[in-house]
Amino acid sequence: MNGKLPRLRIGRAEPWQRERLARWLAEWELEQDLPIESRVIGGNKRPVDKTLPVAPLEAEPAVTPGQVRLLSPEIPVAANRPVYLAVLSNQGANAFLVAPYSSFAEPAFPGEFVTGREAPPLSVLCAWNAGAVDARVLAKSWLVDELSAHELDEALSVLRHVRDGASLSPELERRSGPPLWHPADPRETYRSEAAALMRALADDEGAQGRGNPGSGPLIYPTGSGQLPLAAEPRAKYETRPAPDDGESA
Amino acid sequence: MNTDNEHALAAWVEWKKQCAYDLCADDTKAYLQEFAAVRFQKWLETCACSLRVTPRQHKGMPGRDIWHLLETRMTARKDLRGKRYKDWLFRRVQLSKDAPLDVIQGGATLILREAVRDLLRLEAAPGWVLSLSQPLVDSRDEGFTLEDILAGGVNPADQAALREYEAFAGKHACDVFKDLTQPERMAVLARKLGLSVACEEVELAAGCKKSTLSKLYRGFAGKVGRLLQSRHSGEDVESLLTLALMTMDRVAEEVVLWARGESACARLFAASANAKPVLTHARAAIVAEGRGGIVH
Repeated sequence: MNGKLPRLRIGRAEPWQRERLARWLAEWELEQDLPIESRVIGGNKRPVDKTLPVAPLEAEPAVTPGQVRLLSPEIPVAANRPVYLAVLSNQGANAFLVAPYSSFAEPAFPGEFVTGREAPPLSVLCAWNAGAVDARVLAKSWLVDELSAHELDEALSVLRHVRDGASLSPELERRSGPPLWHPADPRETYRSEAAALMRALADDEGAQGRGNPGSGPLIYPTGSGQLPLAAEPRAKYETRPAPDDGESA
Repeated sequence: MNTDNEHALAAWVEWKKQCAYDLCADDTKAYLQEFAAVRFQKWLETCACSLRVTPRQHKGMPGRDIWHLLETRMTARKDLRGKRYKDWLFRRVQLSKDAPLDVIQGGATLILREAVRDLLRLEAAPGWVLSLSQPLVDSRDEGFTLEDILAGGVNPADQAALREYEAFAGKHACDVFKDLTQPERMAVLARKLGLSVACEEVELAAGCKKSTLSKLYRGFAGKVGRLLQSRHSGEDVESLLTLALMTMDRVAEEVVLWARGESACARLFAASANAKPVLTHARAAIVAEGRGGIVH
C-alpha cells in the first residue's frame, strides 16, 4: 500500500484565473463576516394596503425569452433578497428556461460570467444554474430590462459549454470564473446553496398540478454546427495539456 | 403606530412615490440618510478586525453617499423599470404581519448590506487582496489556502503514471471508507450528489446541522491528507495532493454504493435528480507552491 509515487507533470492556473479567484474569495469572506440582522418574512399575509405604492404585477408585460425579470417576494426564494432572472428560452408549453444573476461581482467558476453590464445586480450571470420554471411562477415578476441578441447568445453559449462540453470563445472564457477543482473549495458551498435556490424555484407551484417542469430534460437552443457528431472524438475530462506544452485542449 | 414611526413610514412612501431621492423633501432625505448611516457605521465597527478595514477610513463618509450606495446596488437601469427593487421592498409588506415600517426597513437593510459589501471589496483593495498562503475563511481549522485550491491539468502523456495513482487511491479509499462515521458518510454523499448541506433532507439523514456537516467534510479531506502523508512520507506536495483528490473521489464512490442500500439516503438520491453539474475534475492535480496545503 505504501510506495513511491510516479512523477506527474501538472499545469498551473493562469494569472488572470488566480486574480479572479482571489477577488471572489475576498467577497465571499466579506459575505460570511458581515452580520445579517433583518428578520426573514413569509407566510402570514395581510390584506392589501392600497395606500402603499406597489406596481401591480398584473400590469406587467407577459414573460418572453430575452427578458430580465425581478421576482416578486411572494415567491419564497425571493422573499428575503431581490432575485433577478434572465429568461433564456421557452421550455415546453408552460415553462421557461431561466438563469439567475449572482449577488457577487465576480464569477465563481465556469458557467458564471461577467455580462459587461454596469448595473451591479446584472453584472454576473449564472448560466450553469439555469432551470425550467413554471410560467405561472414567472408571471409573478416585474419586467426590468431586455437582453440584446448578443447577450442572449452569450448566455446560451456558456450554458452549452457547461452542460454539453461545447467550446467557448477565448473572450468568454476570460470573463468566466476559474475552474473548481478542490473538494474543500469554498465555492462548493456557494454552488450547492445557489443550486438549492433554483431547485426550490423550479419546484415552486410547478409541482402542484402541472407537473414539475424542472424534472425533465432541459430544452435550450444548441446552436448551429457547434455540436460534434457522434463519431468524433471528445477531449477527456481528466486531462488537459500543461500551458507550457503549447498544446491545445 | 406612534408619530415617529408614522413619519418614518411616510419618508419611505415619499421616496417610493418620488422615484428619486433628490426629489424628496429635506426631512425625508435626512431620515433616509440617517437610516443608512447608522447601519453602515455599525457594520464597519463590527467587522473592522476581520475585514482589515479601519472605521476611520469611512467615518466621514457623507450620509447622502451612503444612501446612494443602497440606491445603486439594486438599480438595473436608470428608469422606472430598472428600479423595481422598490416595488419588491414594498410588496414584502403584504407578506408579513409585522409593522410595514419594520418590513420595509428590514428589506432595505438587506440591500444596504450588499452595497456595503461591494464598497468594502472595492475600497479596501489592494490591502484586501487575498494572500496565496492565507487560510480560507471556510477552512481555517484545516488550513486550506488559495494556493491549495488553484489547479491546473495533468499532462496527457502521464496516463501511465495516472493509472498508478488510481491504483493507490483505490487501496487507500477502502481504509478511509471503513473508518467513516455515519454523519461523515452523509457529508461526503451530499457533496458527491451535488446537494447543499443546508438542504433539509441532508440534515435529517445525517442527524446534524449544516455547519457540522461542512466541518465534517473538511475534516474528511484533512483525514485523507494526513493518511497519505504517513503512507507516502517524503513525497512532494503536488503528488500527494493529486493522490488525495483521487482518494477522496474513490471514497465518495464507495459512499454512494453504500448509500444505495440505506433507506435513510433514498430522499437524497431523489433530491439530487435536478442537481446541476459544474466543471469539476476530482482527479485533477492541485498546484501548491511550497506550502503543505491539504497535507499537513
